[in-house]
Amino acid sequence: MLEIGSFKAQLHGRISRRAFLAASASLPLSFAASSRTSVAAPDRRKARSIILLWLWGGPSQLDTFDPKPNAPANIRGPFSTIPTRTTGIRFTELFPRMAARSNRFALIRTMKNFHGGHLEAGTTGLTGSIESGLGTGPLAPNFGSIVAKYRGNSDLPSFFSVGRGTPRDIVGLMKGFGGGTWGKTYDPFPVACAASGEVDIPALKLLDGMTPAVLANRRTLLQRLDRLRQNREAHMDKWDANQHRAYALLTAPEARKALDLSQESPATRDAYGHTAFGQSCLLARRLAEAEVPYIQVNWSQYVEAMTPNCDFGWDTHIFNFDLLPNRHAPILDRAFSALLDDLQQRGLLDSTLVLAMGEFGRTPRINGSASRDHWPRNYFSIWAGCGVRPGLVLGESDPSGDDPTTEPITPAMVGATICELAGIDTQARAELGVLTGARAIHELF
Amino acid sequence: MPRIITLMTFVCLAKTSFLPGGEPAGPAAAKLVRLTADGQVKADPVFTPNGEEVLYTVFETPSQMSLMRLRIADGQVERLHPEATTSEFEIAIPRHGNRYAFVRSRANLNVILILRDRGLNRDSVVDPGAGFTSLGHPAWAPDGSRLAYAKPTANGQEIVTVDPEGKNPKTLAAEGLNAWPAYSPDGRLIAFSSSRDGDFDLYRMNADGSNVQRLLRRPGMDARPAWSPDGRRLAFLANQEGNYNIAIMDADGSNFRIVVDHPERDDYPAWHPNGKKLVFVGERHGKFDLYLLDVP
Repeated sequence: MLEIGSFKAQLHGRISRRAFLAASASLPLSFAASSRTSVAAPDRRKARSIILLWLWGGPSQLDTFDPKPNAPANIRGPFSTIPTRTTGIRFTELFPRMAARSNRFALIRTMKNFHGGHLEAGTTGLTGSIESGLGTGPLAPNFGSIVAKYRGNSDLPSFFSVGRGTPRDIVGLMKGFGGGTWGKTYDPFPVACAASGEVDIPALKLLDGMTPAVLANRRTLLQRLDRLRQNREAHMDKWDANQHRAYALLTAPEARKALDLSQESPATRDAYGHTAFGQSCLLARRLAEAEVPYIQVNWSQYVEAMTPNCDFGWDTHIFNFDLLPNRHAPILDRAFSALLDDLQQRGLLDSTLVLAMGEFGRTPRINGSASRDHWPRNYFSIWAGCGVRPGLVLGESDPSGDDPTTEPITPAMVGATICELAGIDTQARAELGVLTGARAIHELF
Repeated sequence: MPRIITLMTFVCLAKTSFLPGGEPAGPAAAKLVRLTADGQVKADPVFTPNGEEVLYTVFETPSQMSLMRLRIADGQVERLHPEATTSEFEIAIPRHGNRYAFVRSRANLNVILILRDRGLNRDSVVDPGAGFTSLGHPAWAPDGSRLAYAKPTANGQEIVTVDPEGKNPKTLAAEGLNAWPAYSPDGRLIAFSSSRDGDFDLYRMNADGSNVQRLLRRPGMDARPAWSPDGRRLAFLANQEGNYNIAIMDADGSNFRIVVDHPERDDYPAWHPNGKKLVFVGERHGKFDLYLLDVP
């Protein structure tokens, strides 16, 4: 079987940002779709990179970071709670590592979305636009697309999506994954990362002959690139943005290193856990290190937790109290904690925003399958880096976890906060026509 | 073709060798044997009655859990059901007879329980119906005459038993979320976890559901009880302030002690038929493998 599109580089060493950017700058501007439309702006950004851990399917707020141990049995669930490093705050026993680091991130317990369907809430969750989620207005761009348009100034991708494919459920694709009405140019550049750490770049599959063996052999690589270059000149009008970006990656070997987890020490690889999500988080850190502006790590492609051919999302209508302790929580606990530690140790946390959230929460009341259903009225998000107040717990939900008792935090507010940190202020957002009227969550800082 | 991985030798690992330092070596420190080396996420190992094989669940691909068979003598690992195309997990084997049971993902958020008679080459099915429905945690009576499992209801999750054809259900435990039933070796008792008093704690009851007794009162999830072959002890998962440990106690709830205490996760204990070893899933360096522990 041809393995076009996957590679494991044999080079060793850490990619330098200078090398990555130099490689980017040397690429032909004619393919710089993002640079053609970037909004010129002074560099007031605080977040050099933003990493969104997208917990697709909707994690339960009660069984994770907003437990209700004193609620009735049909609400509280079967998990014990443990203290955290934040006075008076407890998580469920499924998150010991994050509990031990709660003084290094902020928790919002009053997120609110506006639809109980995955595709709708997911679109709103990633674009901030209720109308886009409901399908009653034009499809707004993903937060990553906004950042990429504003900040992208090279042919290399400014918005990476790390995961098995475009987020979806068994019914269809989630519309808010990419550029929306801005077009495919602003869709994320997709890469997949296996538990083994092998990175797969689907767009490379479209570039004829680019096998891992070719990539590893400089002489054959040059020959193939020459052929590819001729081919490109003949057919460049047929290439889409991601093919152009894939070509750029191919011609910038230093940049390719950002996608090569074999450059990492075994201890670092271990720390994240040898799961697809864990290694994807490590890949996100490498991309942040290379100053990629926006990286979205998808927990799964499908929301469904237990469905044939689906990849164990957080949609736990069944097996909520099995999958969380057995798989989901330990994987998230380990990967998030490792990412936080790693960014901090490398001095990247001041310039990298880490955000973890899903599209909604789950019903406070346990359903007839001993699990929990969709609940957009109240859920959580977790924030770290870029000046976010460590240890902050923002907002409070009612005793049953049904609703916020303080001001709800909406996806639009999440988007506005991301934009502010990325240097896209109110005026710039107005010029771009995105997230107008939404305020940033200033309480986080 | 079944996928076969051959491990030529078991890697004997002293407990202290797992960690860069700082962890004190306990009495069991030098008695751990790693049985697998692929590092994939695993669950629910059980010994076959002759002790020659371990059957377990592995997250084999990003979208499928599969039942695996590990041959202890030479370390060969292969799929139990090479033809399976959907997730199968939580295998249960009675002490006697030709049956086993497991859960199969059938449709969107919908599973069934399969009771397989290898002698008659026949499957019986416990079918919870269409829609989002589940059941799980199957456990056979030692003689294979009944199968207990966890069945969600409108008010929680019950422990139910059925006959080997999956019929004649009897509800044994119905208050709160009840899970992980385990028959004692003589078939007279069932240990299980329940949230009826708060978080998951261990209980036991007579096999007819009478005389429910709470065995432990401690914070943290106590789950997946496994009877020692002599019926005198229970091994189980004990979560202590977030850390998943393997614990053992006497069958009356006394003499609780942690036997595998590692900063990473240890879970899913199951006894070897000789009663002197436990197999469990241990996470080491972020990888999940089966380990064998000598138990005094």
